[in-house]
Amino acid sequence: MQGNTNSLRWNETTGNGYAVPNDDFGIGVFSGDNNLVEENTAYGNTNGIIIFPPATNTRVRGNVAVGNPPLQQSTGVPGTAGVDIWDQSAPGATSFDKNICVTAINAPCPNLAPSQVPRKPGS
Amino acid sequence: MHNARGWTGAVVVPALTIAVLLLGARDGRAEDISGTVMRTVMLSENTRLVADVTCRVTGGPCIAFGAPNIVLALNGFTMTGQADPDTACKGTPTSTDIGISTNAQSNVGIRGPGVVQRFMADGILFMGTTRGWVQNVTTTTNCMSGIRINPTSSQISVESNVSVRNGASAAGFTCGGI
Repeated sequence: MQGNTNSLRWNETTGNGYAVPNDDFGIGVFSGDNNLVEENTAYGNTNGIIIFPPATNTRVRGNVAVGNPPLQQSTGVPGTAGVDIWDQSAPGATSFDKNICVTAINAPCPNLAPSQVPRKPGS
Repeated sequence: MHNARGWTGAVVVPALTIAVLLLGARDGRAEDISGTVMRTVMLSENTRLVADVTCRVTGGPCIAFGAPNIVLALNGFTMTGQADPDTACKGTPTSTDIGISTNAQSNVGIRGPGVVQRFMADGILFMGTTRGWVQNVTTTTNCMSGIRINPTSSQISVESNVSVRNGASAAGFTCGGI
């Protein structure tokens, strides 16, 4: 995702990306300002959610990102080190709240919320 | 490229069937698309798929918006491009071969359910668009991202979609689900 004031809600992303190079993702915020990533799921992707360096004022909340990458890739493919959430943006440029994850770089994890609703209510 | 309104039974591609229907006062005129698409279909009004679509377009999107304030309804059908069903890219993506491009039109939407798969670039690309949306669409095995919003787009809502097994192995193509 690039551009400004976009929203990603209630999406399911699974099994996206190649192991090499390790830059693919389930959800990626490349750049832009004031973007929202809310209550999505990211399972078994090369990386779950990546916020790239140019992005500013990104809000990442209520997402479930686990199992990124799958076990065999993370342990069996040399040079790959994907994670559930990877914040590459400047310190303070991205806010994280109530996401569920197991592995992360520069993002709070695990950050569990018992009332997590990863999909649109009623769907 | 062809304006969707300009397709008729006499046009060159026999497998492409596009009929113009009146859907009632609320929806206004709408186009129907089905079959094999050989050249980019340019939408000028509300449009829907009425059967699966196989895309053989090279050098451009399969379907592109040509007017603002309109909706493409996939209507439960599947759009299939020319990528490999197992590996998607078979190598380097072809960045022009997009499934659906918003083509700098604003206030346009893509409504599922439906599948956009096996395109050599992005499945769905928001390009130069303000106030666009995509809902309930499954994107899979596309060579770049399933759904991409480019830097010239804003106020795009991506909601309740499923994105599976998209991506490129080539260096310099950072992509994935959304």
